[in-house]
Amino acid sequence: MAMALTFAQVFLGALTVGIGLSRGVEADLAFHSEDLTGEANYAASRLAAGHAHATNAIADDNVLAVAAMAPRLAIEADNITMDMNAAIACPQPLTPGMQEICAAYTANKPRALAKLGWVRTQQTSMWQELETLSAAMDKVAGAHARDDIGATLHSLDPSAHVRFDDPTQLRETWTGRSAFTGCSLASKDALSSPMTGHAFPILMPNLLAGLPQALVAGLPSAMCPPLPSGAPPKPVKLPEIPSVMEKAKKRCEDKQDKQRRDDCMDKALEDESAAFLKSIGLPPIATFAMIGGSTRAPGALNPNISDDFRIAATVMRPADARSADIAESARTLMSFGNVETPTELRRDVVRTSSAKWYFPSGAGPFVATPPDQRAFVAAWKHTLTAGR
Amino acid sequence: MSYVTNMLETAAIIGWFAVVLAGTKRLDNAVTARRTAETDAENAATIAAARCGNVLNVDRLGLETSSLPIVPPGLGYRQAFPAQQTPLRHTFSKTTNARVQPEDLPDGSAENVLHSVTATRQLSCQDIPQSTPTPDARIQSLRTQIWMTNLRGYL
Repeated sequence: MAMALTFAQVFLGALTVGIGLSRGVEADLAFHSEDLTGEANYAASRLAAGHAHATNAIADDNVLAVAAMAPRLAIEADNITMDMNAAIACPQPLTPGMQEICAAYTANKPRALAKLGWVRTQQTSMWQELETLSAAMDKVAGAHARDDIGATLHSLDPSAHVRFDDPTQLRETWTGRSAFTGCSLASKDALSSPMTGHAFPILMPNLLAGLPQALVAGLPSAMCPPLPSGAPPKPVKLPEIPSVMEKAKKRCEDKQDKQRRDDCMDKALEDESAAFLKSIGLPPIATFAMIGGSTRAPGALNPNISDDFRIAATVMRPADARSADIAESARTLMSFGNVETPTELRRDVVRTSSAKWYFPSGAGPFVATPPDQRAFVAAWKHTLTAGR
Repeated sequence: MSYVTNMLETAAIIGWFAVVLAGTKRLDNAVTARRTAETDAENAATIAAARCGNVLNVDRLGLETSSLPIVPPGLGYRQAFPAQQTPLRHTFSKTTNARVQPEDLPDGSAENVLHSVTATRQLSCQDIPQSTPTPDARIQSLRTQIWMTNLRGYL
């Protein structure tokens, strides 16, 4: 009887020691997992915050670029209108009023040209610099955030390793295809301001009422490429310019069939627009060289559902070596040595957290995103787990 | 003799269970305390990051003044690049779960012992709209500065 009790006691003792150790190890592993999840959440939120911040900065750069383009459009239009007035007035010195217009043109054109030169230089250099800055910003912010996260995690948990899935490391997530959008917004801004037609009648009377407005509306097509850099250029059409539209209509007025008339108008608009641009000294095809660069837009059509605006951070570390020792010893003890030494606790525990940033409005051209609807980080706490 | 031995064995087994129960309770208390601290720290970090309160530190994105281009006259540096200058903000939460528990000492006396568990979390804040801390960057206000300062008028 005593012997039986002794065996029972030994057995129960081994059992309870094993259960206690297993529970302790289990709790330790649970907190280990939680630690890694917290670190992955931090890494994901930090990296996404960096990208969102860069995105907001690019939005500001775009706004700044548009602000610089509006005066250029207005002053370009005023200068062209002055030239066209002179072209009408100067050959008719005997017609009443024409001599006065021609004289005013001769006297004032140099200062109008000086302003044009200044605004062209400033706008092109600004777009060039802003595009360079915007192109690098997201990558710089990402690299900076990754370095920062690595340093922080190393100080907190030296044995943890972190890995990032960051689209900015793999591909261009931004493109320069939004120049036309930026110019169009600048055109709207200039049209609703006192800039357009400002030279008249300060410098000289205007024989062509409404031309500065038409030019400001049409110049984005003539100056700002609608496609990304490197894409084949498209011929410019300027239906906003009255003289261009009139000539095109005149060429196609004999076409009765609607389809033929539309085809004719397409071709006529291209030809007449090219002729008009040549007459005012502009090339027939818009190039980035004319404006210095481009505003930047997300490469994806809908950035809010694109992988381009989403990152993941993975943190990995094996469980504490002492916990693994205890767990393995407990298992060996409870099986009376009949089990192979387990190795899974020696492998990395892996936790991944993802985060994204997005544009809350989700509507309208990117370049016009209002300041209170810029990108921000959201859903960083959405945690995915991988591995064990 | 056999009776005494049986009594001793039985007492030993009961003692075992008493030790096991006490150990289990102690482990439960420790796990619960840490769990509470961890959960509170995580909740606190989440709330702080959403409100951007309790700021741990700021980070200037790696784009310091010298790396930015010179902006033409009419747009000062401060107006031109609010986003680049607005630092990132990160929150930090730290919670401690503490309680005092009387514990027996080897000499038979008891002493109140403080048991505490501390948990920490870090998260980055939501980015604040850039118009908030700086002059607003709407197209019209920026354009007005360029136009009024440099281009308006021909005299």
